[in-house]
Amino acid sequence: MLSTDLSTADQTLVYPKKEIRKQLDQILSHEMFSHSPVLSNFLKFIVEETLEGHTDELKEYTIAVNALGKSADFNPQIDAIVRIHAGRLRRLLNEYYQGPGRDNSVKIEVLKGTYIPVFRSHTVEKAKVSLNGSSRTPSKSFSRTKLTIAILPFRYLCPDNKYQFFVDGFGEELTQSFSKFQSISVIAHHSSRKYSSIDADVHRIGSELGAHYLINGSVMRTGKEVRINVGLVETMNSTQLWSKSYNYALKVDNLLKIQSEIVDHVCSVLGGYYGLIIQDGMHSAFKNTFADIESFDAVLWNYYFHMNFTREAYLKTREALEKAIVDDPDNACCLSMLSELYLDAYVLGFPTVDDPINTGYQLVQRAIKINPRCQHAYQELAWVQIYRKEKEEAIVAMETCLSLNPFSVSSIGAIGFGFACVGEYKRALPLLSKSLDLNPHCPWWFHLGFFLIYFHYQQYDQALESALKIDAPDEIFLKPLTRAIAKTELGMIKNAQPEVTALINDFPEIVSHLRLHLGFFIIDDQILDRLMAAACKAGLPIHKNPMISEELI
Amino acid sequence: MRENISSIIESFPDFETKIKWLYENDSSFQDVCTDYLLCTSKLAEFRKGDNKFDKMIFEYEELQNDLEQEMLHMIKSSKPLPER
Repeated sequence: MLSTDLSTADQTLVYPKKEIRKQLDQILSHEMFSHSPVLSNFLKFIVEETLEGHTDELKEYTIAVNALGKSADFNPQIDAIVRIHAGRLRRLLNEYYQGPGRDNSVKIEVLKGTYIPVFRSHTVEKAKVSLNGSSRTPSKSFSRTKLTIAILPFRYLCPDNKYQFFVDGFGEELTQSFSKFQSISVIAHHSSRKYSSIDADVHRIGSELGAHYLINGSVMRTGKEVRINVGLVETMNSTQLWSKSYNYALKVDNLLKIQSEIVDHVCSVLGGYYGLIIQDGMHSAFKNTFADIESFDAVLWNYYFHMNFTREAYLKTREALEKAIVDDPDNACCLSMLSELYLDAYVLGFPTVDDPINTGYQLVQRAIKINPRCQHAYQELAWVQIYRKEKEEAIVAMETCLSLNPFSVSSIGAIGFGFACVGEYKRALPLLSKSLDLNPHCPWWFHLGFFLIYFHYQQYDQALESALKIDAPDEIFLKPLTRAIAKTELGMIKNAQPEVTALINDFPEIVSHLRLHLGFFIIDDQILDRLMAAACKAGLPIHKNPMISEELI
Repeated sequence: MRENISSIIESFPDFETKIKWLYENDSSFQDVCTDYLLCTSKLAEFRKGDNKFDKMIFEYEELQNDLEQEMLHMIKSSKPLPER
């Protein structure tokens, strides 16, 4: 039902293949490339191999033999031709995108240290000519098809080099940890490392690396303490979005522990579906292109929908995702999201496909087949299993989902909610609590998870507190229902009447089949019985279920 | 690496100041210098070896020429140096 990280480990699949091939043809047909058959062959080979999923084979040897016409006895230890041509290709592509390709919507890049090309959305503002005829330097912007970050080398502000290894480690560790988030692309650290020696402004670094966000930091030592400052900067406007200072007692034997704690915290706050980076990316994209579905990315629509669950956002998201699947049928990320969306609509009573459970199941199975490490797909598989009432299979899928990226706060929270729905309250509570502690910007349904847990433990004060935090739109029946139930269990039946009246007036169909609707996603019969009994007690016109004991009612 | 760019300066003696400035401030120029130095060092190795490297010598000489053209293009198209 509910969403976390976008889900393709294979970032090349963010774009439809035909769009990338079109861009490749456009580049190769330009005279900058047509005059250089070596670089054209090189580019064509690495792009095609990547599109076919053969990135493991993009090594110096295979490129030399297959793209540069070298013989089978090519030895990369002796012959550096591939490395040198790769540099030429990288620069020629940059020049192309600064000149003739500046209006191309897709950018193909070859980053330093890898032969696997990356594909980004690319728009460049044309030079603005002022009234006096002078032109301003063009600046790059990147649309939010996939948010990209770069981790800059941390600055070492100590007089000696004793802890340089500790400082350098932050860049490597953060890059590695962020690369586990499928919702964010991370620039390879060897590409951003050069900015330790070059004093460039944030906008320029972002533009050169194609990064929407930069993470920077510094390390200072004062006496027996070490202070590590970490910040997040948005590159288009050079805006500091977040910063934090971490202070520790300095002991040589705890440096790795310090580093690990900070990396975990930074990833938790900034990464994932509900982290600051995605949130800011969504707001930026939304501000610019709210009405334009063509330019507003399906993935961000999906995020927006899962933050509020309105019918309007649902319809827009569905349209965008269905279009994305037509354009790129092998996009595991979008397949999982579409599965999720059909099932959400089923629960929320929005128009959806025939047999949404089976359709969702097929979509998610296809996503896993395409990308077996797709975290989002496993999360959706768990939800499909919940809808199919297959508790054990749901738990296995949830455990797999968590294991794929333990840093993802959004996954932790979503799986916590899943455990609550299958009746595993002991496992649900710490996951939801951890998620909320690390990132307070959670969607409203996290609080529904807390509500179920506290209701199960008959802690009705806390259940009501959680119900009051469910900030769902009015078209969601769960908000008045949980409030009415919690108030009733606290003996405040009179107080619950506004919610009861709202339920009767606004959701008559759901109220008359309440157990069925709750049973879509709550598969613990015991708590369902108790919720139904409380709803009855509150005054909702529910047909008495002979399976519910009189004692409960 | 800084000391090695002397060989690049030797190739373009008229642009010594510009080369030094670009090397410090332009990452693309740094990259082309790195490629050029790798190319010339490999070329030197091959020239020391036997004639089995003849084909590669020819290829690397062409490559060296291309890289020199690329550097020259960058030097000439870069903005004037900031005044002191």
